[in-house]
Formats: sequence, C-alpha cells, structure tokens
Amino acid sequence: MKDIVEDAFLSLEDLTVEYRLTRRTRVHAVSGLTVHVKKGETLGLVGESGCGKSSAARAVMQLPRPTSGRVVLDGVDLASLSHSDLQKARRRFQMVFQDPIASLNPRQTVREILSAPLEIAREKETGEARDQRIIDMLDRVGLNGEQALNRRPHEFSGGQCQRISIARALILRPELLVCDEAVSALDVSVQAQTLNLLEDLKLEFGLTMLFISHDLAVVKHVSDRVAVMYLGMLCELADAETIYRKPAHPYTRNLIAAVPEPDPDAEPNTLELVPGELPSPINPPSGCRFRTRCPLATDRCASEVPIAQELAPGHTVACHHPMS
Amino acid sequence: MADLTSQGTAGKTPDTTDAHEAALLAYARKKKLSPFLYLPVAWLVFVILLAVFAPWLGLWPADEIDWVALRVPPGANEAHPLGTDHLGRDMLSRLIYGARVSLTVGFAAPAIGVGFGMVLGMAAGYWRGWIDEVVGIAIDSWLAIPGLVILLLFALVFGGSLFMVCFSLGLLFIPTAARITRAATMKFANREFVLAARALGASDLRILVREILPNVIWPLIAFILIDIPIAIVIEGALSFLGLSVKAPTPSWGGIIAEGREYLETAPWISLIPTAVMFTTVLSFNLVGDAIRRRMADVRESQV
Amino acid sequence: MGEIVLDVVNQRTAFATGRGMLTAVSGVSLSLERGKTLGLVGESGSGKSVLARSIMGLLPRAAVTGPGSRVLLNGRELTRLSERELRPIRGAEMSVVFQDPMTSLNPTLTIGKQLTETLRFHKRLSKAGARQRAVELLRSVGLPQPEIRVDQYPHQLSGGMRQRAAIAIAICCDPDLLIADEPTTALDVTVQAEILDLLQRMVREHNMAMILITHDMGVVAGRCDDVAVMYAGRIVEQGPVREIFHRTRMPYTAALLSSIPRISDPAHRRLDAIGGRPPDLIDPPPGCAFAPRCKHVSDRCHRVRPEPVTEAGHMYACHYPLGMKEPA
Repeated sequence: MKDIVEDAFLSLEDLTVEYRLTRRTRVHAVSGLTVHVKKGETLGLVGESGCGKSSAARAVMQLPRPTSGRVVLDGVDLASLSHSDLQKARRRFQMVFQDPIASLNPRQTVREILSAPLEIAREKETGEARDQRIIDMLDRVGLNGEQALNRRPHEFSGGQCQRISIARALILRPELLVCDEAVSALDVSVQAQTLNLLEDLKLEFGLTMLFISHDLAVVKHVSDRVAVMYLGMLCELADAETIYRKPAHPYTRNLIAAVPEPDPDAEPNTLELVPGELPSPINPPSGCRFRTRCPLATDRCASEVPIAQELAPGHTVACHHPMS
Repeated sequence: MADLTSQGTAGKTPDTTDAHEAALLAYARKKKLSPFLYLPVAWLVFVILLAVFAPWLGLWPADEIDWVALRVPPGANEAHPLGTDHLGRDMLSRLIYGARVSLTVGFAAPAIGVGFGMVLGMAAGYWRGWIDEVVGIAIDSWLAIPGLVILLLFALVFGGSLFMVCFSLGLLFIPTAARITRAATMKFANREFVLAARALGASDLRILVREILPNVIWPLIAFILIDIPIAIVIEGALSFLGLSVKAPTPSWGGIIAEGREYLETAPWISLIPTAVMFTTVLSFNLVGDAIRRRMADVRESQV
Repeated sequence: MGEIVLDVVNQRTAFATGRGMLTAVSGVSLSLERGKTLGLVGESGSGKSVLARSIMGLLPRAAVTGPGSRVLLNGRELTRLSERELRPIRGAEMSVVFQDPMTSLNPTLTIGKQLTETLRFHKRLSKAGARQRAVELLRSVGLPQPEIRVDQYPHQLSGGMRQRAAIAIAICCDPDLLIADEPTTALDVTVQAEILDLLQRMVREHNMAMILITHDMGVVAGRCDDVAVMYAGRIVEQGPVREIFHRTRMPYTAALLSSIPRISDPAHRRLDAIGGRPPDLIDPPPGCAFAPRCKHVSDRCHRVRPEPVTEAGHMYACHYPLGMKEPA
C-alpha cells in the first residue's frame, strides 16, 4: 500500500462529487474516494449504474471540477490549478467516451475532428505535416488514414467511430487515458478488437489507464488492479486476480456471481442479495451504504461507516464483516 | 405488414423482386424532388432573376407616367404588356420593382431575426445560469408587446425606409429563433463530442463556433424557410396600410392598395399583384417544405 | 417430440431503402416446442430483432415479407391474417418483452391500468376481477408491495421493476409463446440475473415456449434449451445448447465464443477478435456471408453459399465445419 502511494502517477484523494438538485437536496455521486494508480498501470473501476464511477471519471478530467478532494497527476493537484494552467495541462490526460456516435461531431470530417486537439494545443506545423500526423494516428488505431480523412462519422461503423475517438484522445500523446465504458456500446466481436487495440496502444504509448466499466469480465481483461464501487463509495480494491478469486466484500461477491458465464455446464450462481432496490444517492443509507441489501448486515453497519482496511498487501476492503 | 402471398406470386422463388417490392423500392428512391416541385422552383428563379436584373431589362421607369395611356388593360397596348395603372404607370415595371422590395424584406427580415436570435439562444443554451434567465425574461417581455405595435412604432418613428422595414420585421422573428437555438444548443452541449472538446482544453468560443454552430444551423435554416413567405405577406400588409416603403417606390402591397378604388373599372391593378404575390408565397412554402423534409431525411439517415 | 407451438417456414423480410432492397432476414426456418426456450443470438444487424417482429407481425410499413414465408402459431398461419384478426392473438397467444420497458410501457397510464386493460380485452374479466388478477400477477413477478405498485406510473419504478411489470403484462393472458427481445440489455448485472431467473420461472409455471433474443452468449448458455446463431439474416447454426457450445461446427459461432471476455480468464489475456465487419445486406456476397472474415475460408466459400446440414438435431451451414474430417 505504502509503495503504491509513493509511486502513484495518478492519485484520487478523498474525492467527493456532489450535484445540487434543489436548494436543499444534493446527489452524493462520489463520497471520499481514495485510489492510487502507478505509472503504466491500468486501474479498473467497476460498479452498477448509480455507483459514481462515471462521476469519478469526470472529476478526474475536471469536467466539472470535483466538489472536494484532490486529483494528483504526476505530483500536480489538478483541482488547484488555475483555469489557464488546467487548459494547458489537459493534453496530458484524455478520455474516451461510451457512445461512439455521440462522441464525434456529425458535421465534421475526420480531418477536422483530429485537427482539433492539434489546433487547441497550438502545435506549430504545416498543413501537410498535420495531415500526415493525423493519417499516422489513424493508421495506428487500425483505420486506413488516407481514406478516412475526408469522411464524416456517419460513414463509419460504431467500432470504427470508437477508433477515431481513441485516435483523437491519443494524438497529443497523453500520459493518462480515462476510458468511460469505452467498449460497452460495441458488439462482442468489435469489442474484442477494441480491447486488444487498447492493450496494444497502452504499451506503445506508455499509457496509465483508468478503465471504467460495468462489465466485470471486460475489466478483468485490461486491468492490473480493480476497484469496486457501490453508491458513491469504494467497497474493495485489489489486483485483478485476487478480487475475482477471493472477493472479500459481500457486494463484490454478488457482482461476480451475477455475471453469466458462457458455459452451459457452469454451476448456476445464486445471488445472496436482500431483495430490494438501490437506495437513492440523494439520501444514502447511514453507515455502510450497502447494508440495505447486504445478507450480513448488523446494527454496527447502520451506525458506523466502514473504514478501508488492508486484508492482505494491496487488498483493501471497506466492510465490517469481510469474507476471507 | 406487407404480405405478398395474397398477390398471386406463389410459385416464384423468394428472391424474385415482386411488384410490391419494386413499388416500395421506387418510393424509397424517389424521395428526392417530385416533378411537381419544378414549377414553384422555376417560378421563384424567374421572379428573383427579374428582381435582381430589373434596371437592365429596359423597362419603363416604375414611376414614369404615360399620359396617353391611363388605365390600359393588359394586352391592349404593346408598350405596356400588363397594362398601366390609374396614373398611367407601367404595371409590369411596377410589379418587377415591387418584387425587389418584397424579396428583400422576405430574405433580410428572417436573416436579421435569426442572426440575433441565434447569438442569444446559443449563449443561453450553452452557459445556462443567469445568462439563460436574463435572455428568457427579455424574450418573454418582447413577446408580451404585440407585434403590430412594434411595427407601427417603427414605421412612425423611423419612417418607411426599406432598411427599417426589414429591421423591425426582423425583430419579430428573434424570440422564436432564440428559443429554437437554445433548445438545439442544450441538446448538443451535453453530447460527448462537446465534452471531448472541453477535455482537450477548447475555449467556449471555439466550442460554440466549431462544435455547436454547425449542428444548430440546420433547424434555423428550416426556420428561415418558413419565415420568408411570412415576411413577404407581412410586408404586403404593411404596404397596404401605407406603413412600408414610401409612396413612389412600388411594392406589391402598395399597388394592391392603390388599385382598390378602381376595382370595378380597372380590376387588373389590384388583381395582378395579388396573383403574383399569392404564387410567390405559395412557391416559397412548397419549396421550403420540400427542403425541410429532405433535411429531416438526411439527418435521420445519419443517426 | 412435444407439442409444436411455433413454426416459422422460410421467413424472408426485406426493407426498401434509398440504395436498394435490404434483406434483413433471408430464409429462416425454425420450430419451437411448448415448455422450451430457444436462444436467438447474433450481433447487431444480424436480423434477430427483425425476425422477432416478423413473427409478431409488428413490422413497419416499408417491410416486405417473402411470398413463401409462413409463420404458424399453434398450427394457424399468421401470415394470412389481417391486422384485425391478429390483434386478439397478440397479447393472448403470443406476447413480447422489449429491451427498454420505459418505451414499451405507456408513461401516462398506471401499471394496473395497463394490466387490467389487457386482461379485460382478452379475458373479458370484470373491473374488480381484473384488478385483483393484476395484483396477483405483479406479486408473482416479484414486484414488492404489489397493492401499492398497481396504482403507480412507470416512471415511479426502477428499471428492474419496470421490466418485471412489463413481464407481468406479457404473461397476463397465459400466452403460448413469449418473445423476449434483449430483455436485460439495459439492466445492471445483478438485476439481469434476477430478471432472467424470473423469465425462466414464468416459462416453467405457465408452460410457454420462449424465444430469448440476446447478443450475450453468457445469457444463452445458462438459460436456454436450444440455441440459434444468426449472421447476416440467416441462422448459421442451431441445436441443443451443449452441442453448440461443446461441438461447435460453424466457424462464426466458434469465433463469437472465443471473442467473449470471460471472468475466468487470466487478466490481460488477448482476445481472439473477429476481424472485419458483417457484409452489406443490400448487396450481399454470393457465397457464405461469413467467408470474408473466416479463418478457414476457401475459394468455394466465396462462390457457393453453403446449404444447411442437419445431423442429430444439430444444424449448421458451412462447407468446412469444425471438428469434422472432410466436408460432406
């Protein structure tokens, strides 16, 4: 744990994101999230809808800036930067979004889409050099750059649009790439291509990645470590093998059990969730937020917020009754 | 559901193209321009060309009085193919010079309204917050004043210059244009491509001009297409009331008004400009509808 | 063999587009027994949803059905029926659960109203009787506090509860055939598991036949008796679920199976992605539609479309099936 904190390239420290709904009510999207990511590492962030994973991603991107807490990238707290310094720093961290179609401006050509990062960063180069740079980038993400240049997004399939998005995010050679459900909208065969591509590009560009997804199997394929979130709070954090083999948090266990295995002979998993609904993030349960659906909940879970504790080196869990 | 078995096609293999299938295919291909549209397009091109090149057509000056030919009916005098009015002025010339006024107002007024409305709407829809509230209140207050009052005030205070007519009419189009732009801007401001631009550090101005403008411009073009005929009709009504361009300058509404008193003796003075105006407005509506339908199809196919 | 509920013969559905005829379903035949669940798997554009809509008779106006296509429900040919004759069959003999319950439920009517209307139309129940039945149905689909929920509007329910309500409406008249079109795609994994369990229980309790349409091989593996894999408008492989998974014949099915990320795989395993993209359905290639993306392709595959072969209940359409010595 200690060494991860020290060589962290990206640190989210006590990150809190709240949205005001009315004068009195606010949505507690992320509450005190602390994780550290080493350089060149991929951290998977999983959870179901409403768990705050996307809000956390946006907070890392400072879109909008978090309500409180720090986002430290390579020693610099992004949340404390002035507007103009932040705009300059943005080329170091980029994002790929879920919807491949909505990610690209339908009225622009691929050339315009990929020129935007270079223009905004005021890269000094001739038009030809810029075109060549765009073509090279498109070739790298597996598209025919020359052919793609003058086309518009609707002429491409969803998977190809996502490749264009990835090219736009990487053309300034960022160090951190945030993927927010980047493969969730794609068909299985295209999803596999895109995941392989992301793995290749990560090595080629030396990227540090924050990979957000609701799909545990996808997350496992790309992540070195995995963090599980529920209703705005971190439940469990461990390396990718451990968290799937020995999940300690009851929520993690259920989440893994719910994934349908593509094997007709696999033992059907039964869920141990208490029937009910996801509580509202406007008024989250006291103590442990998972307690309303937790089969192991006790009085203590209602009164006391569980603090993240280290079960084994690198395996932390925020639960009063962790399973081993 | 289209069922072909009832159409006596049994025995054909499923791969043969059937009559119904061919009809549907033809329908899908056709969606371009129906031949019915060539007439209004041709008419508009004709009117616009005449208006633009009026000074070079060798017409009678629009305000020259031919004392020997007062109230000549159309076709009776070779020098005046469409006849003359009660003052002996050439009808054809007055119609063509009148078209200049009507068309200028028809194009300029919506353009002015959309220009201002677009800026307000984009600012309100993109930044929201207090800008949105101020723009909203301003638009609501503006709408609370009857349009006719605004037009009358402008006409009385600034007189009947063509520019002031366009400007005052344009003001009336601002609220709707601003609302359309605001709604479209809000729809696109939350799209991922705008977020991606912000993540790259793009300035608000760049996002508004490069990312949002090309997308909100289409509903506004559709809006302009609706407003052109409306502006022409309103200008006609203003001329009829004597609130548009001043008297010697011909305008369609003005000619109709002048001919009013001679309806029994010289009906063509009013009827010809009325027919011309009707045809022009109808053509604008037909062409505008066709273009808007086409735009909707294109947008649908791109989604 | 059990009682056949659904028989689809040579179904062909095409759409007129500006570029030409798009054949979304080209010559699909299948039959389904009472009490069985057929998993219909395919990627987007494979024609699985169009096939479902063709069976239900819910195609848009621009659709054309092939002259030899027949859909028989309980032996009665639906393709010959008019919209008026179909209406009492839809909902009563066959019904459908869609992906997004928010769009399939009417947002301006309470859940109870939507249930009782269907019940009263098809079953001619009294007002009070229908309401009582509605509450029972909502309880049977596991909706908590059914007495309260019955008077609520769809937007007052969560996604999972809405899908439960939609299932209650779908099964309220004891249909013989239930078509579930991506019923869990919009839901979270834990909710997905619950909804799939519920659908399975409903099939058993009401002795229905179900077509479960999904893009997720994982969903199919645990919940279906038979699987049909669709590609470019055709069923390319069909058979009992274990046959399909363990004795895969069609290279497309195999490629699909190996491109799925699995939770049991080690981290960072490279996925066997299928290169390329599905063919253009307006101008499809003459041979096997999968040939341009197939690892085992030969010249013959590009020229001649493989005819479906059936052996021991396992159908496949491939010139060079996997796990066989030489092509037949």
